[in-house]
Amino acid sequence: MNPGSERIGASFRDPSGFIFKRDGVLYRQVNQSYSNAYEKLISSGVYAALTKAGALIPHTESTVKPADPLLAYKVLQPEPVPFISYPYEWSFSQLKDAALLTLAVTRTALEKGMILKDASAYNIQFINGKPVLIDTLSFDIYQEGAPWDAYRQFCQHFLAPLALASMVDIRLTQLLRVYIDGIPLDLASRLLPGKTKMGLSGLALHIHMHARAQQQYADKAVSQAAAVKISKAALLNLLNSLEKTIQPLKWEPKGTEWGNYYSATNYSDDALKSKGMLVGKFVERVSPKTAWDLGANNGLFSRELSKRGVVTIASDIDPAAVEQNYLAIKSTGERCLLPLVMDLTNPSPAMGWAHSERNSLLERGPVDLVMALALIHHLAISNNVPLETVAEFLASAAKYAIVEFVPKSDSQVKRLLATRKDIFDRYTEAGFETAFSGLFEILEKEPIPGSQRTLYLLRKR
Amino acid sequence: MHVILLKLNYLDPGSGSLLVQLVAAGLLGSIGILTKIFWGRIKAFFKGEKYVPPQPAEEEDKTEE
Repeated sequence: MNPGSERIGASFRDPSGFIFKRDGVLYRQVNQSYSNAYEKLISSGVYAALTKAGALIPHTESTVKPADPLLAYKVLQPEPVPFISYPYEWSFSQLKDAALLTLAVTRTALEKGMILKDASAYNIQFINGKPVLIDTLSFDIYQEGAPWDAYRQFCQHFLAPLALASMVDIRLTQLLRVYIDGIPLDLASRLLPGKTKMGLSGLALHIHMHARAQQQYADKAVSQAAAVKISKAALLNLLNSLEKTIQPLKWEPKGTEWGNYYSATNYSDDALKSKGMLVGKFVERVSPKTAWDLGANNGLFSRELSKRGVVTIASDIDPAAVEQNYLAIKSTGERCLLPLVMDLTNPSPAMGWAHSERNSLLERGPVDLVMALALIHHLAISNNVPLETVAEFLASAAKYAIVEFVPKSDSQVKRLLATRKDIFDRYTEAGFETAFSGLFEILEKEPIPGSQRTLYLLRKR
Repeated sequence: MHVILLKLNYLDPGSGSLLVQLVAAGLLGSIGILTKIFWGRIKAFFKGEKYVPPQPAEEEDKTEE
């Protein structure tokens, strides 16, 4: 058998080991070359301290056959991650918390004689509402005097996007979707405001000066670098400095689309409550384990899923709504709910080497239930997506769908049509049912009290 | 050979990044230390007072017998 056949595409760079999937279970092979570091991870207490703090994914050592026995030292079975998300799908505070976690993990490791050999944002995942490092093989044995090899990666993956989001525009975090190894520092340096270049501020050093030095020494050999010796105390200083640079970076949503959507909708408080109850009733009828709430806004109705223990992704195009949702989850300690920024008209694609390093949204499905509340009119009217195509997309995402149909008589739809020609003859309740009937059967159909809208529970044929 | 050359890194740390790291870590460290050392003087300067160096803790008299 080809040893590579079970390997997962995202973990090929690091020779320490790789992820493979067998019979639906994910394993991590640890290679011989990493045996010393792995033993040190356990014996130094780094593993125990970090897993206890919830900062590192726990694993058990498994007895299954390695995927590549010639190289293998051990096989680990990590605790499963419910959903893999990517930094270009995170809100500002999610990225910031992931950055601070990476620094905290590095500091803990350093205190116990180890160090993080990479600082990739893709190694952080949100589990039960909190960021967790999922790459057990990121640790290396610290050697006195050695610099932090991951410094550049940390600046590209975390500091640059956070600074740009905070000081220029939140939409610049989307550059992470273009640059898979983080935002190039010379680009970040050009985009950041001039005032950040002044003096010896963190951004002046870690972005601007860093970018200049990279340019200057781009082709110089390692002999230059080999002269670099840096004490442990200086390394801790560096970590402190990065933390102090990131900590004050803030982003407060202003004037975004949905910021206060629920106070500006057609729903009264009572109508919102009865819509929630209706959604809850539908959810209970199909009792899903996993769900995607698409166009979830701040997650008001996603909670009808997550509070019933359904592992739920609440995606929205508006970073402000997602930020609000994440901060709410953080303060209440809610589990089961992960908010993500996603433009459904252009959802996350498969990316990276051979299109297999980062999965597209649909590749990370299917789930049991997909929910599209107050979304159809945005897709069909604002974005000209035919209703049949919307049905196809939802059918490829889940077995069940809860869909809210918003008729033309609804003021929200009137607003969408106010500035354009109405070319949507088939956008009616009957037209909606016809368009969906090819792929779905209607299990339930109920008018939403206090509105002209209808809620459907659909099952894939 | 230097220890750093012996390490088998899979990430290229980048020469420029290494040097900035050195500068950043060293600089920030030394600013911290200098500030600590001269804090009394700095405070006194801004308060417009005359700097009085702290009295060194008196060492116990260890007379040789």
